[in-house]
Amino acid sequence: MGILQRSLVAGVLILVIVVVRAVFLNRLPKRAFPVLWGVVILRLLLPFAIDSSFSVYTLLHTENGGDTKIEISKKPSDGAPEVISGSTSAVIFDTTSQQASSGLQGKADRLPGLTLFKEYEKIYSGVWIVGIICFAAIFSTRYFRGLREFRTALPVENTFIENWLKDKKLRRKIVVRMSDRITAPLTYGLWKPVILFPTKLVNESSQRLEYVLWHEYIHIRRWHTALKILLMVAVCMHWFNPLVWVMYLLLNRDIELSCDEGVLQCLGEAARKDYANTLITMEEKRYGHSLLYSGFSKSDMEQRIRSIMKYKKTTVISIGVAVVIVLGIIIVFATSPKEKQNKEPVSKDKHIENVVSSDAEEDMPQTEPVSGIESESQEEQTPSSENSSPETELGSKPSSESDEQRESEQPPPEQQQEPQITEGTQEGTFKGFVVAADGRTIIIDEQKWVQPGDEDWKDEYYIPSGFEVVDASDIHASYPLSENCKFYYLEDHWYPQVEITYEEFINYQEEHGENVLWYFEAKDGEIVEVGENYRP
Amino acid sequence: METKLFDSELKIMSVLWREGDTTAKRISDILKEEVGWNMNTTYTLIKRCMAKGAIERYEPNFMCHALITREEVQAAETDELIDKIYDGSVEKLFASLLGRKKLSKEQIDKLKRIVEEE
Repeated sequence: MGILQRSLVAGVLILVIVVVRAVFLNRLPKRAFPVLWGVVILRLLLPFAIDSSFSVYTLLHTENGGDTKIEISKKPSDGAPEVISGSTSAVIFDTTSQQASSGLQGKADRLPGLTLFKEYEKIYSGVWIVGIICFAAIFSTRYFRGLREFRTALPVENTFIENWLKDKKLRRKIVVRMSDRITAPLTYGLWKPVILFPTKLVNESSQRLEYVLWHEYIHIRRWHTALKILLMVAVCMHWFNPLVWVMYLLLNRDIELSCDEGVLQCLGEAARKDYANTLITMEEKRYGHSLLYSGFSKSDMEQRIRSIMKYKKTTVISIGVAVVIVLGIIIVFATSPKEKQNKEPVSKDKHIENVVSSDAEEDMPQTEPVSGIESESQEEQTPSSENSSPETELGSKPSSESDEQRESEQPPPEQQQEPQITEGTQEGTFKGFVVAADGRTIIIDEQKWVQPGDEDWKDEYYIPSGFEVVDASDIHASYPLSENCKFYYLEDHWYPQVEITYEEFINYQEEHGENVLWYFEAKDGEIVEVGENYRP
Repeated sequence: METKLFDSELKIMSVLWREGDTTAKRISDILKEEVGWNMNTTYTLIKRCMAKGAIERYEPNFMCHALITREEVQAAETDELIDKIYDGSVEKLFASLLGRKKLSKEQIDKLKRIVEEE
């Protein structure tokens, strides 16, 4: 998945989490939130994705679930503006190319516009990389400067601390040191964690020390250091996405909240007031004056104190709810749309119906399979029950479940009416689906573009896309392939057009066949050129 | 030397005060034993001390020489403590010292002798 696509998907996920957080922050175990954020970060960093039919993107029907670099017009719901589209330039070119492609004959529909975008792509990538380098430089200098300072810390001789460390069971050995260069306790180190105290703090009461130790210990146990590093990497790579910065801010807060909660889990609800007071006093000493006048960290601290005072022992119910919500969000928003499965070539009619009606959402009117202008063929189609059955399925419940249903409950092809195969008679260029091919002949199910304004346009078609692919006739035409017939496909179903061999063409058709519209050039009754037709 | 020395730098100085002039390498070995600092850390700190005018380097072998004495540092710190916490009054510090712990008879006698000698 391209970087932009990942960024967008993650952006949606971030928004969802922000909303959930606003509503549920104080009612769910705070531990859940760093987990959710962690999922977002994984999504941002990992190039592959997990498919799921339940993904919201399957619902919204992206055709190119897999490898598109740029998101091309995800269908908006209820006419909402195309917020989710990848890059506005891609959308613009998209619509123009649709109009153009219906007029253009034959060749893969490429516009000067699209080529222009490709040129700018180099500039965009360059800017992106410069950004990465800048942020990486900023983060790493800060990080390593910090580390350098921390290393000058001195060992601590304190019996309370030593005893406290003794019964902590952790694979990694924890070391406690003190430094006069820091104003607040912190922890660093992934494999050899170190808890650093400000020197002045080491002489405080054991109660204070205990709170601090527990807090830092939980940071260590929950691998927050690693999470923060991954966060920094993700922000570096997705610096252009403002939502990622929102996540940066919120994740840091949530990490602290999660630790506060952990402390109270260990020490009990009764410790709330004491713990809160400790935090306040430590902050006061840090800033040297009453917190009422403190600067930037005031709202963070306020939220922490509030959360601490609101802490209640976590019930099994809230844990259960949290797990459900977290898993739900992950499955629905973090997985990729499932690519349409390959069906038998014979069930092409079914495919058209699916393509046509899968665009529909709950509010969209159901589309009927269209077979062409001839009224006889209409009559042919309507009595057949097999053809209409997927419709009724869809008519009842177009949701993500029916998406799956549709794919698994296809009436077996045998029930399908076998379309007639005749010798094709088209000349020039026409479009269609490939039904079958052997070395010599190819069987084509001819399709045509239909636009609003055409006589064939039915109002039920999905209007905003501005076009529809429609069965030109319900026979399948067979054509001989010429000796030196050329085959082309479109990389990423988009650009550029690449010539391929017949074998590659067959493999490609087998893999992606259901989704691919082809154009054919016929001369003297033979097919001389076959190419993938751009299809938004 | 104007700037204050941090704890870590004082640690370096304490090695020099104890051992006299030594090579940087030796200081780093000693401190590796005592506090667990790696060589880079120690060298960085030595360079900081040099920048603050507390250490002087001479060749061969990166020999280090302390430019201030322990007593100088102690005096400076005590002055700062008195000014900051005891309102500039030495008596208050003294009183606080006496009042803190039960001093043994020998310690009180020793203190008396010091006062007499002044």
